[in-house]
Amino acid sequence: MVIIHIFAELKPQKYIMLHPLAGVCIISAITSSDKVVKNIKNLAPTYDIYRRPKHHTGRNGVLLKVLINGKEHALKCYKQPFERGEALCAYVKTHPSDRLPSPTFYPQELLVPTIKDVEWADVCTYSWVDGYSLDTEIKRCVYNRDTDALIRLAEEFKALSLDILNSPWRHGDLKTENVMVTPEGKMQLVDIDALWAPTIPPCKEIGTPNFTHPMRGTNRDEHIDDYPIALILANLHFLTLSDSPDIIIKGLHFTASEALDKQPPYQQVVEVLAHNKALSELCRALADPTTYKIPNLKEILNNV
Amino acid sequence: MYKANITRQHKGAIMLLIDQSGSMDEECFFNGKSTTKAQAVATIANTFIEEIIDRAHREIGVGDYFDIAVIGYGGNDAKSLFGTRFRSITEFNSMYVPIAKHYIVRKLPTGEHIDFFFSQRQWVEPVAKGRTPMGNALRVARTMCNAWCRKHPQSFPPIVINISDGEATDATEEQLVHLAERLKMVATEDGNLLFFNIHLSSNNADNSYTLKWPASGEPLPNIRHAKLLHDLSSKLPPLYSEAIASLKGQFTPQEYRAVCYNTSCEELIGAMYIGSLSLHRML
Repeated sequence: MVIIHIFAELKPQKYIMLHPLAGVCIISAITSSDKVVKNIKNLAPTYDIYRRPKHHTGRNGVLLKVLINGKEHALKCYKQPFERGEALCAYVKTHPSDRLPSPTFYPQELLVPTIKDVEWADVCTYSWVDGYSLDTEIKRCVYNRDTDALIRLAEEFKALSLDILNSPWRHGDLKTENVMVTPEGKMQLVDIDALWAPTIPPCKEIGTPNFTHPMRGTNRDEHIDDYPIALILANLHFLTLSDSPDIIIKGLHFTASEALDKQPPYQQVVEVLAHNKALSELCRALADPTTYKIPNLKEILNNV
Repeated sequence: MYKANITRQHKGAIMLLIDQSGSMDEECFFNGKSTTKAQAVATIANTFIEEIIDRAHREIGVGDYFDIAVIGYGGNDAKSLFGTRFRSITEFNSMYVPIAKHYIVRKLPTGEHIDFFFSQRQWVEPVAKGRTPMGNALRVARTMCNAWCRKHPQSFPPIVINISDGEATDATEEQLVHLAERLKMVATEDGNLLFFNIHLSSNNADNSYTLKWPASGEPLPNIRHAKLLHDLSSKLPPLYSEAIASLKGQFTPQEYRAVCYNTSCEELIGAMYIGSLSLHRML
């Protein structure tokens, strides 16, 4: 009963946990006491071999692998209020997709120590997606010179891309780290904070520079994923034909800025993919400085 | 200038200069309890290093996005705590260091206290002894940063954060300004090194005046040491302006100086947020 009393007394407030130690504060809250969790029951962190909670600290929050009622979940605790959280999660629930994780939003759920005080932080939980990110899978395939696996990744990524383009939503921050490859080889999107849909408030984030056309800026529409889809697919097809050890470090053979500046890695890809009309068209679109949109992308993908 | 993103090919560098003189033994209030300034600063430095490692953690391990150096100055000497060069965060991550359990005490409006526990690797130990050889620390910093910039010419320039509660005992004001100027001349192709000075308040000093990220032309207090730290510090590029304006509640971002004077240990964390904004340039 004491717990209920605490929650009643604490006023909700706009928290700002933007100090560089926020990650540690969030982890300390998760591991310290069940008194600091408002609604989620039977929450327990999972630990790595060093007995540290399994987590990843990002710019906007900390992502932890947790157990809720004994079942694995991803839990994201935000450093700032996640204002779109409610609308985004409601949207995904009414537009379920095999490609999206199932989220539940808990506003002001976790009591976190801040510099001098405590504040309630927004939390989102997701069904856990087993596997490795596309980024890791690409590096593994290149390292092992596993061309067959790369071909499978390219094919599955094309299928994922067509599913995205055929849906009413877009991921909004599509990059190889946000695509999980399950042990069965199926691709699923994660980190959907920037999800775009016509009926939910737009996200302010501007995407990841290596994967984003600069003209995208603050524009939010159904073309938001065009450029990263084309970029990742062109890279994957290039890698099936030419193994480049640089990938182990870089993640992709060429990035958005390298395409737009027509730098050597991009030129190399253009040469290697010249035999395929559809892929050449993708490459041309990637170097177009005037727009982030590729209006006939679905048609091009169907011809790859 | 100051446009380089931080990637594994173009790493970032952060250097902490930590005052380890006798005055750091003074008590302060931190994490909801009484401790020494040396202990509070060591905890903040360790958590800061851990956070940088966490931010660079990827599925297949820690990505080599940052190099870190820590210089402790106290007694008669200033020395780098981890050898004569910057160490990568993967090196920090694999160092064998003791782990301590810390806790943050927070009081709720109901009067109840909650302890938030966290385990912390102890790369930096609390030390408080002797005098304040800050001049020597600036010399060591310059040598190490110079070598780093030569090796990483296209990177975002190094961030040097000096945390101190006192005045240099090994250099005059003129000498200190000269040393800081030389330090700030160290540069990569992306810009000059950025030198931050965070001054910790003392229990027995006049704490009625604080100086935090003054804008160009903002009147300074008639306090000699505050003016000196202001002159030692870098003028910050526009990258920092919005965050500082927001912190100060100003609508129009201006050009600010990288200095805070009379800061409590708890406020030091907020100051470190500004100092480490380059973390956001990590891809």
